Amino acid sequence: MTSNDGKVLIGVVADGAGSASHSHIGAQIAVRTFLAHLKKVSQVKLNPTETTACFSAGLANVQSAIHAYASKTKRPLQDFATTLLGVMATPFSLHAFQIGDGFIVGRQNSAKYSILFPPHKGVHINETCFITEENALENMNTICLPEPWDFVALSTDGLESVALHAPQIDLQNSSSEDWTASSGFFKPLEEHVRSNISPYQLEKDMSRFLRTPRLKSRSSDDRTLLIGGQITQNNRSSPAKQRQSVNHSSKV
Amino acid sequence: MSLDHVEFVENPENRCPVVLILDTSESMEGAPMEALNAGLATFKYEVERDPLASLRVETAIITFGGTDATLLQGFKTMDDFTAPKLTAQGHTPIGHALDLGLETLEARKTVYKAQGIPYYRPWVILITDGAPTDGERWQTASRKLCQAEEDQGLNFFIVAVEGADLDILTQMAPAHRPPLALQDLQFKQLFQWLSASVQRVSTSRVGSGMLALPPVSGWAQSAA
Repeated sequence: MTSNDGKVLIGVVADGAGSASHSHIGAQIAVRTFLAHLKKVSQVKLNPTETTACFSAGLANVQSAIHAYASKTKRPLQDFATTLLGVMATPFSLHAFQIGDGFIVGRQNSAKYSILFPPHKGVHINETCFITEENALENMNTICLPEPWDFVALSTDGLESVALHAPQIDLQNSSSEDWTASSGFFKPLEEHVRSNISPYQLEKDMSRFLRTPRLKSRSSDDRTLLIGGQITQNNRSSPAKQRQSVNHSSKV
Repeated sequence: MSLDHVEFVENPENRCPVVLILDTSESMEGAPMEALNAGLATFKYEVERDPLASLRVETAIITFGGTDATLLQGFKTMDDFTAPKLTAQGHTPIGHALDLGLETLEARKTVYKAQGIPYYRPWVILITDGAPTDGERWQTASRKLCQAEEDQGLNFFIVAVEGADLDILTQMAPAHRPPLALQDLQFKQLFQWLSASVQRVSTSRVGSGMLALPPVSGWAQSAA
């Protein structure tokens, strides 16, 4: 979504843990609460040094909202385990955060597509960090890139195998430099989002794209994708969002 | 180019390693051994029903009956895995078996890393109806396994078949996961549970330290 004046793009994506019974609710609360927080802060100009504090405050809001819901429904906090990642993009800067797996890819100053944070991989492939864990704040990555941006994409881990190129060896010691974003994946998406089609049509096209059998066969989880491109002529951000769920019971 | 690891070209899926450390000492003769063999066949059958798990779960079998433990079968995914027909004889060298289990697992992890194959937290399962007959070796071996468990490097389960020395097995087990006492030789149910657990773990994400498994109430009671 965009800020009231349409100049700031905000977007948040969450992916509930398949192993947690109410993670779909946790993911919904997390997205709703964090978007509300970003909507509020998008009205003031964010200084680069304030990025981490801003996102930490958003995480604290999310954690208390989930905590309150867990107490009300008498369920343990870990039943609501979810990842969370988001961006706030002004015409002149890109602010982003990430807790757990999934990825954010950006392109600034017409440079190549780059991954903002190294994919969060533990020693074991299916272990990641969730916002409901005690060390969530320590595991939150934040970044402020004080340059104009052209394109940004947020996704859960379901599309990792098609959108990113993983390093071949030594997964534990990988860094963001070892992982690369596939321009073959992102370039057509960016061109499409920049073409003069209506947001409605764009959403329909994205939905069809995420459901194509070829894409489905190469990803093993839910596929969630949120993309935004900045149209510099009139200085407006054009967000498009679509997701497709394979497992309705545990994902948002 | 070495073709030693061509299996990862044919099947580049992530791997979930399972090490079964099985008691084949004399006391397992008769009904327990028959039930264990049937349980292993059930394990293969159940995992193979899930196409993704059958590509990801790979099992190694270590047996101990006699003076030494033996690596009966190295890590194999289910298409290659043959449920063995085990026979019972000799003593119960649990200490050696635990050492061999950990060595086999570490060697496999080295291969995964070298080949760039992501893997899930490994499972080590000891099934016995006795007590160690190879001296104090079990103490160092089980300490290593419990430390690895504490460091979240693996999941270590001990299943005590009727007649097992629960005092010693409790000392062997991780403090937070006491031995599970198998009821009425329900090996079939045990392996159905193991199959459901590894399927669940190998197809969903978990947080650090989180391990939500199906209940064991169908076949075991906690020995603590």
